[in-house]
Order: sequence, then C-alpha cells, then structure tokens
Amino acid sequence: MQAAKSSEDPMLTGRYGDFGGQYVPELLMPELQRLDQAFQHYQQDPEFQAELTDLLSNYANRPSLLYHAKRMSADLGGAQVYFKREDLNHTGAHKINNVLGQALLAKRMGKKRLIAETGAGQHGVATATVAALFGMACDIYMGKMDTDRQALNVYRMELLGATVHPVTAGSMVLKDAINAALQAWTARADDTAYIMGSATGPHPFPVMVRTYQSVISQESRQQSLDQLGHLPTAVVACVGGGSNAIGSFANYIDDPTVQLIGCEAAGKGSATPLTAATMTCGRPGIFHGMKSLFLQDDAGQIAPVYSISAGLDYPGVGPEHVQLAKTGRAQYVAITDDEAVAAFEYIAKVEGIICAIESAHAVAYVQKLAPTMRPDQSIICTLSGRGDKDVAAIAKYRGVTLNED
Amino acid sequence: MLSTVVAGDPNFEQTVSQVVTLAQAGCDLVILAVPFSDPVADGPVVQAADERALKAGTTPAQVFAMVAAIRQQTTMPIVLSAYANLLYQYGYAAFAAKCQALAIGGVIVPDLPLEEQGELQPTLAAQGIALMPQVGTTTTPKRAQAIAAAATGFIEVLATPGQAPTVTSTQPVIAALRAVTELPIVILSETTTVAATELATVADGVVIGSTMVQLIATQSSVLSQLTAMTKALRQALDASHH
Ligand SMILES: Cc1ncc(COP(=O)(O)O)c(C=O)c1O
Repeated sequence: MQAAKSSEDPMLTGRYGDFGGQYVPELLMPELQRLDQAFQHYQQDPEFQAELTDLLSNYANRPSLLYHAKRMSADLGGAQVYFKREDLNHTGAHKINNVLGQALLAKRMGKKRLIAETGAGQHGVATATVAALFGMACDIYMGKMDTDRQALNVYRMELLGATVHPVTAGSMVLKDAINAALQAWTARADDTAYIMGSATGPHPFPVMVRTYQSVISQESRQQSLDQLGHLPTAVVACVGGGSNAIGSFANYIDDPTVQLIGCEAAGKGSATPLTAATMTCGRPGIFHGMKSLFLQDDAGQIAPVYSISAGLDYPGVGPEHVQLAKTGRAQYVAITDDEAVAAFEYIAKVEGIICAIESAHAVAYVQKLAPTMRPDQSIICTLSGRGDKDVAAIAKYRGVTLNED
Repeated sequence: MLSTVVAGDPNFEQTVSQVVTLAQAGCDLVILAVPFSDPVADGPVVQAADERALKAGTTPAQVFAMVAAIRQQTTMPIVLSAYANLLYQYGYAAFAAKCQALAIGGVIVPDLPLEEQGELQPTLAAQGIALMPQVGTTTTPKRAQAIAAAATGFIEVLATPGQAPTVTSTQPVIAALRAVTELPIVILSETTTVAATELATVADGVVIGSTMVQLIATQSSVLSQLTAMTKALRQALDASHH
C-alpha cells in the first residue's frame, strides 16, 4: 500500500477525487477554518485522545460487542453472520461516538452551546445527551414532519434540557433541518458549535465524522481477528449520509479481500419517486457544502425524498462513499421499505434483537447475501441503532392499532 | 442603488415588469435571484419568495428568457444570483455563454467561497462575465484582501444574519478592501431609507434586498410602490453622496 501524498490526503484537502469541498456561504468560512485547525490539532493531542477514549469506554459503553448470530446464520444457511452492536451504546445508536468527539472538540474550542440537526431524532438525542453531560446549552433543529412522527425522541431531547425547534420551511424534513441549523450557526458561531450528524457537509465534517466513527471498525477488525482468527469476508452497513457505514468500513479499506457493502433506502422502490436511494439514482451536484451525489430535478432543485426510515431519507450522501463506489472499493445496494420491515421482524424473532429500522436495511441485505456464501465465510453487519423508537411506526405499517392513551 | 428581485415571484410576466419599473425609477442595477429549493444563505423573506417562484414553475432557462424580455425594454445592468448547483447542472460553459449573449454583467454564487471559485471563474472570465464575491463584516482583513484580489465586478459586504449592517460594523472590512482594490464595494441592506443613506456614506452602493422582495410579496399595486420606493431611495442616496 502506498501512503497518500499530503496533496491528496482528504484529511487535509477535504477532497475525495472530484467530491467533497467547502461549498458554503462566505460568512461560514472563517468558522469552518477554525474548526478544521482545531480538529487537526487535537488529533495529535494525546490528552484529548485519552479523554475521548475514556468517555467512549466509561460513558458510551464501548467497545461494543461483536456478536455471532448463530441462529440467523444457521437459518440463512450460508456465511456466519456477526453483528457489530452499536445499538448497545448509551443513547442506543452509533451517533454518540461522533457527538462525543465533536462536542469534546467544541469544549476545547471554548464553545458554550451545541446545535444540531436531526432526522429520526437519534443524533439530536445524542447531542442533547452530551450537552447535558458537559453542561452546555443545546438547540436542536428538526423538520416538522419528523417532530410529528418521532414525538418520543422530541420529548427525550427536552428531558435532556435541549430546546427542539420544529422547522417548517421547505419539505420540513432532515434536509430542511440542516438548512436551519447551518443558518443558526452562521448567525451565531462565536459561542456555538454545530455538531454535524453524518459524514456529510463541508470539509472538515466528512473527515471529522469518519474519524470519530472509525472506532467501530477499529474495534471490529481486532474482534474479528480475536474471535474468528481472520478478517471478515464482507462488512455490511446502512447508509443515510453514511456515518455508521464509513465508520464500519474505514479500517478495512486497505484490506482488499474484505468486501464493503452499503445499504441505502429505496423507499417504495428506486424506480419510483418515493425513494431515498442517492447512490442508485442521484446525479453529481453541489449542496449542503459538498460536491456529491444528490436526488434532484433536471434544473438542480433538490428533490423531496422518501423512506419509512427517518434516518435514511436524505437526498445526498457523504462524498467519500461516492468515491468508494467510483473506484469500486465499495458496493451500494438499495433496500425497499417492505424488505426493511420484513428484516426488522425477522431479526426480532430469530435473534431477539429489535434493531433500528435504519439498521434493518443492512439486515435485509445480509438475508440476501449470506445464503450465497460458504459457511467458512463471514459477514459483519453493523446494527447502527436499537429499534424502540420504531415500534409504533412498524405497527402502523402493519395496520396494527396501539392503544397509547 | 441596487435591488434584489427573485425571478419568477410571483410569475414570469410580473418579474419582467418589476425589473423594467425599477430601471425606469432610477435603480442602477438589479440582482436577479434564480430561485432554489434550499437557499441556505438567505433569510425567511427570500426563502418564501423562492418557494413561490418555484411553485410557479420557474427554471434557470426561464430566468434567461425573462432577461431576454427585460433586455427589449432596458439596458440597465443585470447580475444573476444563483446557488452553485443551478450553475453546475446548467453547465458552467453554457451558463457563461448565455450570460454573455444576454449582456448579464456578472454572477453572484452565494455558496461558492474563494476556495471553490477556481472551477467556475475562468469559464465566466472567458466570456467577460464577472464572478462577484461576498465578504462578511467579520471576515478578517487578510481574508477579505485575498477575496478582493480574485474579485471582478463588485464586492458585496454582508452583515451577520439577524444583525442589520451599520457604518460602524462595515467600516473595518471596507477599509481592508479599499487598501487593495479599486472595485466598487456595495453593502446588502435589509432595512429603511435612513439606514441605506447612512451606509451609502461608506460604500459605493447599497443593495436593497429583502425589503424589496417583501414589498413585491405584498402583491397590491406593486409597480407603483416599487417606483415610489426606488425614487425615494435614489433621491436620498444622491443627496448623501453629493
Ligand atoms: C440508528 C441509525 N442508523 C443509521 C442512521 C443513518 O445515518 P448514517 O448514514 O450517517 O449512519 C441513523 C440516522 O439518524 C440512525 O439513527
């Protein structure tokens, strides 16, 4: 393997081939540059790294388990299936890894207030949690559609002391929440850090989020060597903006034998307009600070997206994934609502795990992939989150009325 | 005096009459904003106008057609403001050629900072089209000067959102710019005649932004109101300049 030249290192350039960059209003540039410098600086700071590791171990419950799903492996009759259990983290998803990193950085930069966007509410909950832990103020921007369908997470954030701002502009979902959060940050950056929830946005966010989420594959690679005696055959993760996937892939990118597969949300089908399958259907464009793939119309207006999963319905994707697909290093598949809901029910019955509907998109692909493989081969599938938040929506999808009064 | 108009709000024909009216009332230049689905650099007034314009079916191709119609009635300078993705999808070379053909003097791209301008600026320059940058009141002098060194057309000074620009807040960055450039410097002003005339004492021009867009949104006798407002501002600004 050849080390990347510094002129090509995305850590420094913010570029993944043609993708990435810093396409933001000038008013945001000074703060982004400060953030970039601080991030680079604290990456080299042993004290910062030690404090982050301590928080991950003693607050977030890391390392997360690498669990051998024996019943599911036997039932599918092919590869051995392992789950990387990010659902067992404090706050119930991988989002906490990234928030602890970014919030600790914010604290070092002297910030007193955290703001964030959220779709399903998991990133908002993680941000509100860490704000409480650090004694910081917290404002969360969430599309009005999402505050309605994820009311429980809204209340959770409020319990944690955050203020949740329902966003009524545009289509009132995740992309609109990001617009509002970026605007709020532009208006007030001196004491405020914007905690980006996925491996998206302007540099340095994609590289920062990747760095803080890489703990997933750092652990799973070692666990795989310890428990299996070798590297996995394939790593599978769901892709919204791509943070749990890039974290799950990062430490295997230089292991060419390990197949990397991202699962995005096809919604009602990637041939229909009711989809969020950016890698499958998107075109190159510039939005939310990055050059990447986006679902958009001919003129370049960003398209409304749909998925049963509030965490996957984003019209773009992190720039590194676009580059990984382009070079063939990773493959991306689209999973429909129906397939994801069936997988949600399957893993509950076969393994006793209620996983997030986002993660169920990855499980659905494992159900297809494992039977095509040999029993001496293995798949690590990241369970990015737990599914308590989704139970009511799945019941509704199945036409079951729950008495919640 | 410069004014912002969101193209297509409320429709093609009325945008054409609005711009022609502004020209006749003494406006020096109109910044025609191409509506975008997600105008992150704009406040709620322009966001709402963009939404109305998109509902009316406005596309970048139609905005060029509006300029063609405007050009039959006035030679007033016109500048387009468009988010990067709209230019990217249209094709930078095709966009530049179209601007050249319609005598559009320059383009403002709110989400294309200095670091990213290299992919567009040479293509525009080849057609003689300026890429006009924005600087903030909190932009450091060093950065402002780097922006000025790469600038063509004019430089627009913006206040932090939610804070109206003042003579005091804009003076430092303007002084830094003046030290290295002869280009005209304009300030985006969101407010009243009094504020605009004060700003005109430190800048070469004042852009009436959301105030104009809001006036257009009120819908009743828009053209006569545009005329009245433009004439009043024009007079006040001329008086303060001389
Ligand atoms: C549990 C869970 N998984 C996955 C995602 C998708 O995000 P990403 O692609 O950044 O991992 C979310 C987003 O809200 C989530 O809550």
